[in-house]
Amino acid sequence: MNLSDEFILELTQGQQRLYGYIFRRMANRDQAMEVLQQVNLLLCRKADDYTLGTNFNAWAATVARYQILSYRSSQNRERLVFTDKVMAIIDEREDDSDERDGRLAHLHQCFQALSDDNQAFLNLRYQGGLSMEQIATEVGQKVVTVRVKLHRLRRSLRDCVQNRLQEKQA
Amino acid sequence: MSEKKQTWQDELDLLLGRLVDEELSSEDKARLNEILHEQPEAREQYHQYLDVHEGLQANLAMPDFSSLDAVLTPEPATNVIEPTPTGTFSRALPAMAALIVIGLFINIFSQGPEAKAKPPIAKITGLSGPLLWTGDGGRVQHKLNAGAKLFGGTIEGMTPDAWFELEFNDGSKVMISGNSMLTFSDSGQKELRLKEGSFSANIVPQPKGKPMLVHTRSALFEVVGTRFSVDAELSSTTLTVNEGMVRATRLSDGRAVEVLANHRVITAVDRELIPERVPDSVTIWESHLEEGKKQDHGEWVPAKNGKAPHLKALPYTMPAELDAQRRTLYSIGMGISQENSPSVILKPDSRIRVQGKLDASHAMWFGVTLRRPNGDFAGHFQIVVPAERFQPGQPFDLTLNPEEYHLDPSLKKWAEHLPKNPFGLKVGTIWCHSLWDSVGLQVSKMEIIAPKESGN
Repeated sequence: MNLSDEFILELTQGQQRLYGYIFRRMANRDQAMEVLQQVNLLLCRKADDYTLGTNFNAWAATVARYQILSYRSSQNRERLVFTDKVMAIIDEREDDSDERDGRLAHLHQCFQALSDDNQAFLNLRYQGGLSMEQIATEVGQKVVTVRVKLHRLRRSLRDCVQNRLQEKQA
Repeated sequence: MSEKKQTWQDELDLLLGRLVDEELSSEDKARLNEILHEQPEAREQYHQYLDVHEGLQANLAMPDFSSLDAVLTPEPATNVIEPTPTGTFSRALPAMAALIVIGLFINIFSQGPEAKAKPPIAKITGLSGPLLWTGDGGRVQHKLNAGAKLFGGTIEGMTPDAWFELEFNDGSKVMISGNSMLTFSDSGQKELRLKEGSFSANIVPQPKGKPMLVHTRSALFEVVGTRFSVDAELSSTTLTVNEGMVRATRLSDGRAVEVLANHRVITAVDRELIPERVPDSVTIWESHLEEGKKQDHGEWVPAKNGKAPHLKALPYTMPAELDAQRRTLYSIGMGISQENSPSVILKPDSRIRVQGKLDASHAMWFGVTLRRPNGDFAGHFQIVVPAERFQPGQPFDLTLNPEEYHLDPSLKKWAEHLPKNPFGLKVGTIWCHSLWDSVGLQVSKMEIIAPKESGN
């Protein structure tokens, strides 16, 4: 097997997106990372099946989907977050590249519209990778306060993105 | 919108918050399934919330490539030779990994036809921060993985918080941290060439008549088996020996001395080549930018128009293979333990003071790179200072408490082998950086302030 530079580039560039695809179907970080690792192996093994210039993300998502199902069948049900029925429901949503890029662009705008304080707060969680406890120490607040604030910020960003999408459609 | 509908929507939001923060209980899981199953509208709400979480990760977080380790892990390659995966998936997996590793080695560490037959000479045992690897074939690679085997080449730390550790096949270990550039090879005799920066090493006894050779611009060191560290500047090199003995030769006149444990020697043209005992550590330090740029990372600007000399942040743009958005990190670093000075350690009441300026309010990362007394890497500890502490265009003067510093999250994988706090360890570098945005970072002074009770 000989992996081309282009394939390695596609694989590395697609990691974050692939992780996102798997995470929302597994809803558990460790399990999503485990499946992602298996998917990476499979993608390399099937590299010859991939035609450069075609949609790598769509191809990778298809491989990931089957690997998720395979992983789920090998696990004790207690370990999984979603039941088979709910997993199937969540899986109905297609992974559309254009839509995703649009949402990301709106999210960026919504993030920029947040106050400096709120941006810094989200940065601690996402950019700095800090735990709730570490953020609480950094900002001198209780863990429960941090948890609620983070949740509210995510929710307000979601509402902002939805509003922008609706405005665009209108 | 009914009251009941509002209730499950709020409840779902709370559950989704717990899900992305990894705090979902068994009861939460059951309830989440129930809502998603029973409420068709809940599915879109789920995806919208996850879209935000994923988007924040994509926009803000440093990409995590640890799951690619498996496809670069070299161990199976040494055990599985025949690339004929058959049978079940689980049985095929190791062979597949071996194939991938072989494929990636050919691609990433391209050596030319004759080199492919040679075995690797070392493997990566630890790394963090931006690094640049150049293989023998001149191939440049930014993405490296712990466990990957190497055939020899050059490793370069691109920012003050970079760290890289390799282990030769005989168990000898070499580590660089910060802005350093080291070339290594082993063709029966190990050779290292330190172009700039510093490294430390723990070398097992070498074959008779084939000591490890360490080259710098000003010196040659012959190592039979010992623990030592080297700091190289343009015109001098400092060798510090922690265990055993190293023979040091000054290239300018060919003079040589033997340096014993707990001693150091400075190979500079303008000073005697005499080993001296490693001085006791101290707890205070301050930068002297008026004396020019030394082992610092940043663009040095001399005093002018009443403005103090300062360092301006240097950009490092993430390569596309690590970050599709090619974002930029802006950093400044100052080397603490320099040739003429004793090592500096932090104590629980120590403080770190940083004076400088930002053009815009922005969250900033401040950190220290630490070494153990024997020179080994002891981690990066850092603190994030929120944007409100900085006024746009105004000088800042921060006094930071190292007790509030925490281990760099990118070192999580090695946390159990690293100290839990920064105290009692040698400070290698003090640094600061902003992420992704150029905010005109300048630093005019950095200080380590002694604990009050020590009177140091």
